Amino acid sequence: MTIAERRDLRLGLLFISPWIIGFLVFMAYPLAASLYYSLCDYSVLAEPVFIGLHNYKELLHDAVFHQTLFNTLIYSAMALPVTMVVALALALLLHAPFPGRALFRTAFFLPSLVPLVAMAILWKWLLNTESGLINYMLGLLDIPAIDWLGSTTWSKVSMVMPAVWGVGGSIVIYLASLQEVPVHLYEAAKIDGARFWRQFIHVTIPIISPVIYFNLVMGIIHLLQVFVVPYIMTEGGPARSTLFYVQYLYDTGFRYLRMGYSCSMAWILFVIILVLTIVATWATAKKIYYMAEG
Amino acid sequence: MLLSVIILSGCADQKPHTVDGRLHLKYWAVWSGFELAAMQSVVDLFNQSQDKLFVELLSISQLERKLLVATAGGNPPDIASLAYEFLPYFAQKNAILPLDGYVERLGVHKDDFIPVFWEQCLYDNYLWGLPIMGSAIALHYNKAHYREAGLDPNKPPVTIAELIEIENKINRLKDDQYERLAFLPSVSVPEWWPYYPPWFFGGKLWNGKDKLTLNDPLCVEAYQWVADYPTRLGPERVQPLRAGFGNLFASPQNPFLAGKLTMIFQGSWMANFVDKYAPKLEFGAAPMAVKTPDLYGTVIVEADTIFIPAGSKHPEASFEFLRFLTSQKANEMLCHGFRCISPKRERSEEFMRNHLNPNIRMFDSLVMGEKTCYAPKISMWYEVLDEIAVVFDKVWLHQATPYDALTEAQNRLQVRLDQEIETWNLVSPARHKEWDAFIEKSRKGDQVE
Repeated sequence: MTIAERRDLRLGLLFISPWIIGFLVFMAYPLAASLYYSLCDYSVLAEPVFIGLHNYKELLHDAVFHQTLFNTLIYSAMALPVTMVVALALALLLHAPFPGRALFRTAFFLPSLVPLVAMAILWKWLLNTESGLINYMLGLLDIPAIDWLGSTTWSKVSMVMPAVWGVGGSIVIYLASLQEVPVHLYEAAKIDGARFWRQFIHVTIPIISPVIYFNLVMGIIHLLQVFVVPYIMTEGGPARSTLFYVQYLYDTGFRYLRMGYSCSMAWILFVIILVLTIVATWATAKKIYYMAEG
Repeated sequence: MLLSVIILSGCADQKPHTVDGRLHLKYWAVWSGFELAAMQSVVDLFNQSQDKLFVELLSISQLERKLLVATAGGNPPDIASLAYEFLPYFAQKNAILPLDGYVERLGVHKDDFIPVFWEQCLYDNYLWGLPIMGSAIALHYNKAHYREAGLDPNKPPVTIAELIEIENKINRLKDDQYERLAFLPSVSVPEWWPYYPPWFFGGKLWNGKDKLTLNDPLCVEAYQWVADYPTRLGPERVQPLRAGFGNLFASPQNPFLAGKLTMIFQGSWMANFVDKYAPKLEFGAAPMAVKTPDLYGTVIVEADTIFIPAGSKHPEASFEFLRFLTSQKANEMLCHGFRCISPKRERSEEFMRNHLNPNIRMFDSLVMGEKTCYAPKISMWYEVLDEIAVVFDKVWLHQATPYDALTEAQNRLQVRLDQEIETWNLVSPARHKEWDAFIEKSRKGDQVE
């Protein structure tokens, strides 16, 4: 390496040092530390004591852990298809030309800007059995009041609603991709006699498939880590029916001060998300069409 | 980089002294709104009386969690306040300081306090905080509703059987929905005291040492009483009311304040909320109804405590503020502001006469009595509380029989309690040594301020 190259290297490292330091301090160290703590009995206020795989073994027999995992998977299985379909359907509607389109686009995007805490409190009021707007509307249709947040039958459904309400971000991504679909493909399809549905299936879906895949993976990651909205709306109740994985992880770490146990849960969640992402990638690999590849 | 350094340096402790040279002490408390204002006026009184110390009161939500994180991070406040039930949890985690040495040297006497409130500040034979306010949880009832139902408004129920009899006279249906309900064991309760029913049936949650007794027959009977409400009143009519009323406590829509519910099991602070949201409501307060008359007068009592977190840089100066809050004048001012009971034995006649809680004498006699009960002093109380809340849910929603729900909770929690005790047996000798050394040091008064 010449002197000039060394100097360039030094300068380069100096310029990216804020990122390197940030990565080491705020990412690499916490990751390594949490892996180590997951093998320890650690209460934050006292020194960690190494206990090997004990936390992981205990998780195998922890009924609450199993329930939170089950709750989270059920919630994600309900919310993922609904949010993806609703976001795509709304994007298609908002893509079509009609008067006041910009206004509607803004209106559908706005909820995604609402802070999660505010969103949770808003939905808590909307779903209130006694004085909530949703039960009031159902009452106008002679439908009896539903105990949204107090019954185990409806509580998970109630958690899906705010998720659907906040799909504005996905709509914007879909809208951007819809605008990328070449018009000549639609024209060609039209000449071949394809109507809206066939055009949608054979032109729109293949072209925007990378974006659908992106939203699928982001959706999996996001939904499995659901925390703020259920934490504020129900605190995990009733009867732990909305106690999701990350809330149990949080309670274990910060409420019961079993940080080692909590770290082991975090690593298991990481593995679950990783596996599901790989499965999603593998399952959709042949269905995704990248225009650049021709 | 420079920006990071500036931001991080901003996190460090700062302002050890005020501009006039007084030592600046940070005091964290959970109160907000008019309760915070009441505490602030007492803090102001302290600051006016001082030329060496200045206390800054900060309202912190979820204080118990933030305090632990701040303590672990080496930057706790100098003083903090929480309910008594957190003291064992903090003590066992080594997050607060024992006060025995200061109390002896600086003249705070155990005998000056109502015994139950002092007891609530003890854990493992050490004193961890001082009681500054007392509360009792009782049955609050709407006198006008009693009259309308032809009942004597000065005769609240003594036994559970009488309670049910009164309920039958008050409950009123309209269009197959209750427009007035006498009582529901689920309103306000599951969030705060899901563990209360056993005491009113003569049951106990633990043996006081190392065994939980959640599925004891009397506890099962108590939760059966909870389960009977939906059965008797119609599950589809009353089960949804719990979530419906859930987030309305501090509002005019609170079902008791709005006249939808005749009786509510609530703390002595309820008078404050009546004053604020339903000043015309004519209400009485009495001990909760019990299974047999000999249990009548059983009352849940709670002390608000003040303590010094471990890592506080000025423990002795902080104790000066603790002592001030337990002085008669300051304490009565504080308890007057909160409409609550003074934890001190001696109280001026003026305090009792001018007290804004119309039922203060009744509450006072209850806490002085012998039938007081409170949450077990277990360091893992949080876990017990969460588990009992799940029991309450399952029983209320008829998802499990009381025996099954309680047995499941018992089995799960006993394993955890055994683990905690085992760990504590290993750690406690070192902890005791550390605490004894601190007490010895504080007894001599050689703290560096």
